[in-house]
Amino acid sequence: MIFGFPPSFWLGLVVNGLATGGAYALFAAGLTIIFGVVGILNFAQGEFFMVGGFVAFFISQNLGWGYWVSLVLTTAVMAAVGAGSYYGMFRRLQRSPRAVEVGLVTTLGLSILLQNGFTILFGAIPRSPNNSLLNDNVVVGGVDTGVLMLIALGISIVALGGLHLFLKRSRLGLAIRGVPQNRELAAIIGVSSAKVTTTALAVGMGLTGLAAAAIIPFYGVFPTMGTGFVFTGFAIVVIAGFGSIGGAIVIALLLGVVMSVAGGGFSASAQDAAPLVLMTAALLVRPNGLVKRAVRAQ
Amino acid sequence: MQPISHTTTRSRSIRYRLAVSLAACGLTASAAVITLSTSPAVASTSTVNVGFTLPLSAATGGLAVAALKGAQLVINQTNAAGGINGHKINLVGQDNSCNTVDGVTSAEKLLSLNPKPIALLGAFCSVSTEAIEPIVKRAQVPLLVDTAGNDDITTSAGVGGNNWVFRWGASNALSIDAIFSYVKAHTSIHKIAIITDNTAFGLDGGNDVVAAAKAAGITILSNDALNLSDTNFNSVLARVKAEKPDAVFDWVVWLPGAVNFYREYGQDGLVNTPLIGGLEIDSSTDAIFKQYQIHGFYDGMFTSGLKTPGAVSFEKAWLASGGNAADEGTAYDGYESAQVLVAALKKAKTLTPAGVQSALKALSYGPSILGGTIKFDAHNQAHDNLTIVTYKGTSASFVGTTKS
Amino acid sequence: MTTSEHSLLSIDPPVHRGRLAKSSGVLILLAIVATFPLWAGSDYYVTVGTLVLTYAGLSQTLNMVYGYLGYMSISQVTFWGIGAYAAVKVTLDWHVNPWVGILVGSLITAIIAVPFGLLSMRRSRNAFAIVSIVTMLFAALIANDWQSFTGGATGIINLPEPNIHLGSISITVVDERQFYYATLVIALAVLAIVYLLVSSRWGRLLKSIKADESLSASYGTNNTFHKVLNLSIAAFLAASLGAITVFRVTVVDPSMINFYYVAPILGMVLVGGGGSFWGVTSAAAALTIIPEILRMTDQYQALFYGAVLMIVALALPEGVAPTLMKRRQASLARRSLHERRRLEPSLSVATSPLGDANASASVAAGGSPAELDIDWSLVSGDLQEDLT
Repeated sequence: MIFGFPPSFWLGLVVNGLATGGAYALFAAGLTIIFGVVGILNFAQGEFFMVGGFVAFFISQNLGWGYWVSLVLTTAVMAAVGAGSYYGMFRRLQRSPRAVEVGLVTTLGLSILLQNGFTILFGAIPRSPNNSLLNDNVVVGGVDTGVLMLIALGISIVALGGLHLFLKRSRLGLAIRGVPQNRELAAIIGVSSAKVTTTALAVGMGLTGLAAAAIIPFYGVFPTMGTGFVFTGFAIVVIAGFGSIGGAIVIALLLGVVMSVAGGGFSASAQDAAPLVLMTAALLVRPNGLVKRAVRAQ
Repeated sequence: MQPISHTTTRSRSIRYRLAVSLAACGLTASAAVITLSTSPAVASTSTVNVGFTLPLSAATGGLAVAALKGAQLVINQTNAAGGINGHKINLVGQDNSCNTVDGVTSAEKLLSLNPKPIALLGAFCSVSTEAIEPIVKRAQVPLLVDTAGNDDITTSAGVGGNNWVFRWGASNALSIDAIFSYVKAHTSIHKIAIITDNTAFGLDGGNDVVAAAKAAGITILSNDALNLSDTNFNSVLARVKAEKPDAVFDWVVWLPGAVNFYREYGQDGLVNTPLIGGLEIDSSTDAIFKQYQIHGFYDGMFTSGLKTPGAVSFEKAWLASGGNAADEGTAYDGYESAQVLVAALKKAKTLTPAGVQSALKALSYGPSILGGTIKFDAHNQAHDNLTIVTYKGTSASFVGTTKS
Repeated sequence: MTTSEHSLLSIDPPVHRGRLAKSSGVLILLAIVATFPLWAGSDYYVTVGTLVLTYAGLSQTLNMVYGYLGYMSISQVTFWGIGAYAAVKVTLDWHVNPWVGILVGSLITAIIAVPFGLLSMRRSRNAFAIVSIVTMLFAALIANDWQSFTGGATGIINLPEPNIHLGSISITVVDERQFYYATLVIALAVLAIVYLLVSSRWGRLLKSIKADESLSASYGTNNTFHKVLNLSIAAFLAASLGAITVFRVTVVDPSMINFYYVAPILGMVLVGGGGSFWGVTSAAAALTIIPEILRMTDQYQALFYGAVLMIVALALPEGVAPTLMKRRQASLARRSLHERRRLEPSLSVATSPLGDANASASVAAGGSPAELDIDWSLVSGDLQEDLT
């Protein structure tokens, strides 16, 4: 017995945490790509996530096309939204002499707009698309983990694996990795800023949409669902260090586990405080993020 | 001096700014249209104003919008039936962002209406209510508090305190005491796990539960305050399950994330453990409770299973107005607030703030939707019924009502 | 607050005209602000006025750190909240007058800001923004969960009135108008302190640190000391505003440490133009009054506010004041050049509008006009002389 619980219990918590971390990993990867390439901290990322959730709900429930189709289509739709947001908003922000601050206020305004707009349109009560797998649990050591959560983890692994290949093998992928590391050099070499940024936004938003579609059966979709996610996603990116996509994924899974262990082993408040405590610790220990990667301070 | 030519994409920039300015004009125009179309006419001198301050913006959950609509239903019904002695009531809502600063500003805005409002309803959130209390005292306008549950609202109202604040809904302490009376009298529950949330409602209620449990000699195995924007309550629930409590005491506020909590409660196999406390079962959770056959008992201010005449006509009116069944619980708050106020207005000798205050003091309104009587005690606190309901799934049996 | 008109044929140097106009403008403004409660229509308008003062002060403390140092300090709201709690705890636990509590609480907050500054200001500006956000969330969590000390999620209610009894002087601060004046006292002090500091030599030192840290360090400046001092003073000022606000609303609770206050002050500094004292002040007034006007739309208020923020940020990324100033300079310059050509047809100078020249000069110097915060009336006067 460890701290009053059998080892299998702790194992169950770990499994549960990994499953939660999976969805966060998709979200965090998207956030990292967008911030790394666009250079603007997107306060409205949670709201794009929420929009993705509504899109997924519409596709799976209203159109009746189900979970798997909604995963693919939501990703596509949100990728298009991402690309569009470049021309609609981010390009303008990038050109501003004080991109980070202007971006902050603009995305903050967008976040308020979307949250309130969707509340007025759809109401605040969460809806959940029907899903036959919703009730199925995997029980490890007395800890239940929803099958759907594990599926979300699987989706994350597959999607992030694909992301990894894209980033390592394709030219555009390399450009996306390169831009955050040295913005001036990238410009000099002639990496087409518009193309890279649009792609990065498409990929980033696509991942966010995928995360939303994967989790709405067990999380529900409602206008303020982004706030919880964006906070944890942000914590992950801070701990991992901006610009490190692989790091974001690892930290996401780790954070999921830590939160689960904290909540299961100790108290809900501990679970709630875990991301903050870890963020603070990481910032104290390694100011530029835990993952060693030379990212030029912006 | 050589001018440095800018490589500005000036024409594109101008076009962009033009687009943005057009958007701004469009926005202003739509704001004007909305203002003109939604704000009711106040021209008539025989109209009285009633203000309602509540959290309307999305960041606060946006749930209270249904409360405003619920109140509006009652006002519309009253006006359609001729108003109060020929005077129509104009209900005006203002967002208080569920905080103190905006709470104060929203109350001031309402109090600046012309004519001055004869009463205020509000404020849903305890901290906003507390910030507004001194203001209504200075302005000498009665404030009818609905569900802001904090106990301090009662202790500082009425005798020796703020004579302008009235609360018709049960305070946290009253509700919780009622449950523990039932627990002691009718069950053999000895150990409980407490689950609340990290809002003022949950934490304050949690303190009351701890106090009441200790007074009743019941052991507390654990006390968790959930963050309702989390996805994952499974870990906490797993630990609670391992503790093997006789019952789980739930004092979780009605925010969107609560639905996920109930679903995971059912999924995690806690169904054999009664879930008791201050639940709210309505159409957004009906399916969950039915599917997992969660059972227990609770006392509530409203539940979709309640079939008193008042509840039936409320539900009918709400759904007919296009309201969402899922929002019934919140709409009830506003609806019943307005019912109580209108009852007082009808009894008021003069339709002035002071007249309304006297009418509230002397009020004996019944039956309420819960089947009780609204009558304010020395601390301006009413003791409406609380329904004690035992339930299994969605079938509920009303064990009875208890005075709060 | 206005630049003077340049008259070609005037003998007076434009500079003195500008200063005179500016001072009288400020005096008129002060007179309006000081007498506002006397002629404001209702307690509601007085409250809005109090909010304008509060946000003007708070946004200037952010401006002090961001505009003059370049650090996007969301922690200003943290300090405002910590200051509020500190003032209340000091007042209640030590049984002192609330004003003493406000002063001591602000000092405590300034002291807390020091280790925070030391830890966070040594990094890049982006990292600082993130650390600010994290600190704010942590402070809110502690305020919410440490029930025995902070009162938990409900906070501490029924705060005492900040009345003053000194010998024969008795001042009550209870109603909206009285709190307007109490807030006015603090807000004016905040604004005055910020203005004096940033227009002093120390202010120029801060700007030089912002412009190039390694350069200023090579001159022997202890960058960290000055950065932390700046943050500490800004924290003190923000704390005093937070403190008077909670005494006004009679409750201190965790909702004081919330993004709800971050969005407005960010918007005000951005719209006003970071580094521009009067720009930020007028933006604060505008962005406080606009949401109140939007109250007409009830539940749509927040929606429109978000839209306003977005539109303003997108349309005027440099801020209203610098954009207006640039346009004004350009039109003044064009007019003065036309005049010159009329009087002296032989003048054959490459006629670029003065505005452009100044703009390009500032670009060459490596910053946008607002950031360098040069007194434009001076510069254009000088250049005009050069053209002769």
